Amino acid sequence: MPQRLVRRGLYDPQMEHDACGVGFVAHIKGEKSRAIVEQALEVLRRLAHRGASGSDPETGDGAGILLQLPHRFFKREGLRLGWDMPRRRRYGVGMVFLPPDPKARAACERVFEEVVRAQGQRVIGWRDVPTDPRHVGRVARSVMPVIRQIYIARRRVVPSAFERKLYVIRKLTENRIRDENLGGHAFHVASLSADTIVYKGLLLPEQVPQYFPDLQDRDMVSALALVHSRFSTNTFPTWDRAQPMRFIAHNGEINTLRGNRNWMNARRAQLHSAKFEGPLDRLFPIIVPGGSDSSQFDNMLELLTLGGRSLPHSVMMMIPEAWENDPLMDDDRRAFYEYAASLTEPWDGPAAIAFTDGHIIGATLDRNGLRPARYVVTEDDRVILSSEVGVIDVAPHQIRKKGRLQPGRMFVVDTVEGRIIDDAEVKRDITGRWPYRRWLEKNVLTLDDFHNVPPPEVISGDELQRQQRAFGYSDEDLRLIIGPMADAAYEPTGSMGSDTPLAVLSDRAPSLFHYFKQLFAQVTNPPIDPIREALVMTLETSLGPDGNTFEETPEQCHRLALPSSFFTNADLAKIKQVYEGALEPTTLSILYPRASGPEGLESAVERVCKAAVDAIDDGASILILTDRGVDADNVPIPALLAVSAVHHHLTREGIRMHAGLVVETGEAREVHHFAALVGYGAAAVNPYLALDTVRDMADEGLLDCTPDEAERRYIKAVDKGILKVMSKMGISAIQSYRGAQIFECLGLDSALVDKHFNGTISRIEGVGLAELGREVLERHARGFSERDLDDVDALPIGGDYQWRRRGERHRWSPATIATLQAAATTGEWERYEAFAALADDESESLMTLRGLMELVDAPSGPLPLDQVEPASEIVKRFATGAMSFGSISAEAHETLAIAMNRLGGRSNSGEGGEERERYTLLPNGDSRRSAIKQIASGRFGVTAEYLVNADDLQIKVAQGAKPGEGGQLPGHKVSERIARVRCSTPGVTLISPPPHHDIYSIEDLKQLIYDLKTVNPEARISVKLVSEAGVGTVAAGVAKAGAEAVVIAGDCGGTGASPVSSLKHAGLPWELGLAETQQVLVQNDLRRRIRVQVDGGFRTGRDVVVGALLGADEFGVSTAALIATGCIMLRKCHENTCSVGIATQNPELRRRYTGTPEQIVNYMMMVAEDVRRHMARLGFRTFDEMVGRVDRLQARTDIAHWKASRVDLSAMLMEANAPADVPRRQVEGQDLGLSKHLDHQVIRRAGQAIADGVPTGAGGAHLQRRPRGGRHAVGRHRESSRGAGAGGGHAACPLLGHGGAELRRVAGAGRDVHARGRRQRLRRQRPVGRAHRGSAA
Amino acid sequence: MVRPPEESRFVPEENIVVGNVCLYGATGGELFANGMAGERFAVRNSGARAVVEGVGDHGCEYMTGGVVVVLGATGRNFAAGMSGGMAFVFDRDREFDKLCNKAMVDLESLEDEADRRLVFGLVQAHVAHTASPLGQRLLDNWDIMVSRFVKVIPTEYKRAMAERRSALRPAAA
Repeated sequence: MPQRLVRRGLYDPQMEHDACGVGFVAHIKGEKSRAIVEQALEVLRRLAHRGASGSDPETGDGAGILLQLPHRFFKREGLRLGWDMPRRRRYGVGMVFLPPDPKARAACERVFEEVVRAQGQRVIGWRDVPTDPRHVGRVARSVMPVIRQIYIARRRVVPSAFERKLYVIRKLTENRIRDENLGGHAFHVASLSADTIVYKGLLLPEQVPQYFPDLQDRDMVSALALVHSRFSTNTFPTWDRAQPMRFIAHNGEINTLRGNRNWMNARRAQLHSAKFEGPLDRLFPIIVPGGSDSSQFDNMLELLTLGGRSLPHSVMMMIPEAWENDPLMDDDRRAFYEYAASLTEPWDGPAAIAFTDGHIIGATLDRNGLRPARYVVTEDDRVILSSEVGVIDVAPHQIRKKGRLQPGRMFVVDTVEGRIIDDAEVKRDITGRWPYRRWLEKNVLTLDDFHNVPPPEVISGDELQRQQRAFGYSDEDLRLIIGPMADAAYEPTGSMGSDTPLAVLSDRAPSLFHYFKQLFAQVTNPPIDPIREALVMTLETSLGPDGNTFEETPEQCHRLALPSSFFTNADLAKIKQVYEGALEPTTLSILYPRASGPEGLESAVERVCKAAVDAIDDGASILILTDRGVDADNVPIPALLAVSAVHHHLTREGIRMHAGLVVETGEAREVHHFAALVGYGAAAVNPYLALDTVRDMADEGLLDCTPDEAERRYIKAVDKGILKVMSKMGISAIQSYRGAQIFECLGLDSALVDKHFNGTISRIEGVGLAELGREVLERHARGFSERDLDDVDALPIGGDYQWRRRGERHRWSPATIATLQAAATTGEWERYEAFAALADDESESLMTLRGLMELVDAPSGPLPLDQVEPASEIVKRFATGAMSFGSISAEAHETLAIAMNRLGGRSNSGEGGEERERYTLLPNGDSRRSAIKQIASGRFGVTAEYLVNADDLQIKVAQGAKPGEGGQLPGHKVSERIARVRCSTPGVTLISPPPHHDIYSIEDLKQLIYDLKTVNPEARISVKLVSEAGVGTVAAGVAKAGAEAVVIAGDCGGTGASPVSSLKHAGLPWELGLAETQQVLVQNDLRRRIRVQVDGGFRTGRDVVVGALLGADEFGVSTAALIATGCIMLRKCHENTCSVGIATQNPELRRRYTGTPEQIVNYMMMVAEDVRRHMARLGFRTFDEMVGRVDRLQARTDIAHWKASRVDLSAMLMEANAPADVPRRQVEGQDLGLSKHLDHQVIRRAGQAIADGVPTGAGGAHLQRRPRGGRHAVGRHRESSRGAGAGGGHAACPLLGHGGAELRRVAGAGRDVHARGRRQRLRRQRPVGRAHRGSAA
Repeated sequence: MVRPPEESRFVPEENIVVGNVCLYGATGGELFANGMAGERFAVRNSGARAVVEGVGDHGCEYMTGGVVVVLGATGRNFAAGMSGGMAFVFDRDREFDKLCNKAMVDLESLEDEADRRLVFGLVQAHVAHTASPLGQRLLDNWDIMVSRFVKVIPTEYKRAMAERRSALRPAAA
């Protein structure tokens, strides 16, 4: 039975990513030929380096080709089979993957034929597609389907309707086979059309023509050919995920997929099209769940196109340009996009999509241009477009034009009209079809169209405090969150991460919002910079009923447009009065009687859902859910629960699109809250209590402005914050973010999630409605129980952000800090034991997931301690965290480095370079050199010298404290010294972009790894990721990309300054990320070639042992190491005022630093000793034996806590699903094929010049895009770097051939070409562009 | 140096010769490209000097140092997050003002003699290395063309450089 993508343990196939190479070759005049097919296959071969293979090098991730249906070929084949063949265009051919089991196959074929007949068409016959299984890998063969082609003759439909008929046949067949469970997942229709045919499979690019001998047939001709080579994070083999799909080949990532799919389902009841006979309902699911994002995109595009729009028109609707903020866009086009936004929400994310219907072929890029596409037009009327240049050799004099696709732009070749249609013309034709602007002017309303209405009275005084308490406000919320937002119009920053318990382990009735964690983009798609690239971002939203996606009529855009999703009490009052046309607001209270107790919550939610349905039935098109009016007897449903429950209920009822959802809530106050409300379906939010709080603070003189101004700034801070949350995931339009559910919930019961948060990832179970109900009551009592109110006159203290005596518990308390420092300073084992006892203590450890686990002792009894690996060996597995010189003082930075070098462990440079002096030993033999050198998105201080002086090159993809965000070092912190190592100007601000601009996808990462390895072949290349749902699949991609280690960082974060909502609400504990990573790597047999490091709050030997059992080889210790040297967790690292001289550049304060390497050495050695003692008890002699032995961990059974006992760790503690002989730890190296690198040829020839210091024409080389064939002349090597002083060698190195996208490596690695080149006068320039002669002066 | 092969027939300044994200994080060196570049040219450049004949969106983003001369059209959002270095754009169509992200930079005309010499020198080198016809046309009519150049300089960088100069002057004297 084929292995299928199923959820198991922590692995979830939803998390799979792919990114790929795309290309097409077309003859503009539509001349069909063999040459087009052969050239396309050559393009495919040369795109191979963008694909990947897993543990079986002969099994690719998928590749394929789409062609025009070659009549001559299929007619000949039909005749050979003895069939009566219709004329051209009177039949269609389906490319069908069938289950290998003959009975299942026969069943599938029978259903197919029945459906064809029921649709009034005729089955001509089934042709066995010849295949050559010698040309597939072992793994691919094990899941290989039987491939047959079905010929269907057209009967009684006009040619233009035949494609639609074939579509209906396919959908009905798929649905029946799925519903009756006939073919398992092996049944797949790669294509079914009278115009096109797709040959694809789980193949490497070069295997495609070998596996399908059809493709080598002389009659297999076409005027256009679309090819695709896939690089997927996973290796779970599936043939159907190979591309091209039926209309597209896609390189990219749809970030908003879940929302897009949900909205499409929500539209189910609205959809009708005269083009289709009968109801569309029978074709659902239109978007087939379980497919890749590309296939789901294809599903939607197909429907829009068959529904009567042209292919470019449909593409424009799904991937609109960034029209909102572009002053230069012509108005017709802008109006079109604005109108289209009311029909469908964008499918947002980086994308290069090539599309064809067999007549036209084209391509487009996403609004931000985050995937490349270049093209060449030749003198003989061919167009070659591809993810990169150099995929086909074209003689220079043959080139008529070469260009690139620009962000949001389209490029179309019409082979029927025989010409290229450029972006302007394609779009002019489409946008001029209807008077969209006039339609909008008549039908779109704004708030300015309505009269002002007096807002409800401002809540103030005692009542304000009661309300605040009842909604769970704390003193900290006012002081640290709401106040600063209203003051600075910015979300405040914090540092030193978060060390409070997870919401599900907290006893302080945390808000429901805190059970949700934001997801973010890493590696497979880039986050966006919402500040610097604001032009692609938009918060514009609208309210009102949604129409029928197929129709284009003026009424479709009848809506209330809002500039932002967050608005004031006055604006909400207006919205409540908007009665115009179909716009009809209805307000529903989400309060319920306190007397109904904790169980009352469930029936209250049901009641609201039902009320929402009734309201819509009565004509409401704007539903306002409100929790105003909380009093002694009435308590609020958590706003997030109310919104999501109503959203999902209405979707299930098929009437979700009839109304927009607005929330009027006292609960939402931080950015994360607003993000969650929108993420679960709210179109707009009015935080009335936060706004009244802000007004009150302004009145009290606590803010520096008037109440109105404070309100305005607060809303602005929310707007900016939300943009940041969206951009973390690479989403640029709030319309796409809405309902996309880009969260993981941590600690909610799956019955609750399935019902009210359907589709959200939830992996450790947890509390249900009754517990949430209890927490509602608890919060309410703070405001309305007389006993509680008498207590104090202020808000509860909170203590979430800073440790407070009566506040929330923290892992780092004054007691733990003091005992650790005592142990580190004295080196006394008893003191360490006191610290570890405190840290591992049960009551405290109910704060983390590892606290819920216990170690399983050796059944055979403990080992004698002296048989266990010595501490001096174990300690080599420890590293300190990435803290840049700049974020911490030089003294602290060097202390860490010296200590780790003494131990044989590793310290981390952080981002921002390292001073050259540190590469020389101190007189006493100590080394201040950081063994790990980080390469971060700013690339500050990354020079060849820096890279060469490293044992480990760490590509920081994300940072625990603020995954998916960039950073900024303000000018006043950029001293002479810092500017020097960062190659910048003192006093000038340095900004790190959110993404690495040379890593937009996994294949880009592969290239950077390769380049770094070329610079420093002896260093290990590691990639740092942050724990979140799906990190395991990303780690698998990282392993396939050639990294030798992957770092999984927990969510707790370190010294880095970060917006508080990221600090608290983005990223997951390391336990989950590590367990998932281990499971996915082992299941794919990739763990054998990659090591795993973990960090995030490691403090004791027990922490390390839990990490090892869950699958880690190495451990990062940051905060504890800083505390050992004097940090007292003031949590103001970002303010430059650290009074113990660690996180500061101020010379006065730096003098106060008292940390020594001995303290760290003592502490680390004692942790290692602690590890040994645990190992003895567990019966492990060596550390390696312990790695991945998850069977020696179990969930504690003694937990009686009302919330913690609901947590289920079984998915985390599950063994990887792999045979016992699959290694659980790294046993072999990665083969990057470095020796084949073109550089090495050049270096060999140039070497002499450098050594001798005499100029030479060092020879050249020919560049061609061939897999592993020396694609990159990354001209630099360590010899040249090390020989920096060697003198004035001068190598001229003419290179001929194609370079292109890889010129970005002048950035990545070429930078040091320049650095070296300048000093040494070794000038090497890479060839760039297409067919250029590069020559060095 | 990047230049199209001698046999090629297309007009270099209208065709893409170097890809996206060229010169990302460069710390030094020179680049002369006889043609257009893609998106995010010289992103986070901190020291390279470059001459190109057109760039895509987000040119010189996050740049902290170095000099970039663009002899043709730019895309949108030029100089976003640019905190250091300088860019000189030949604004043929007078649209640059709308294409530049002016949150952190000032736009000036090329008045300073040192700037004029710098740009002239780079264009001269560009022509010498690549035989760029566009570059040659600019040099031929330099006195007229120079007025069409726009200087892009980050506000903060300008201040820091001015402070440095005033700090150095007494020492020199």
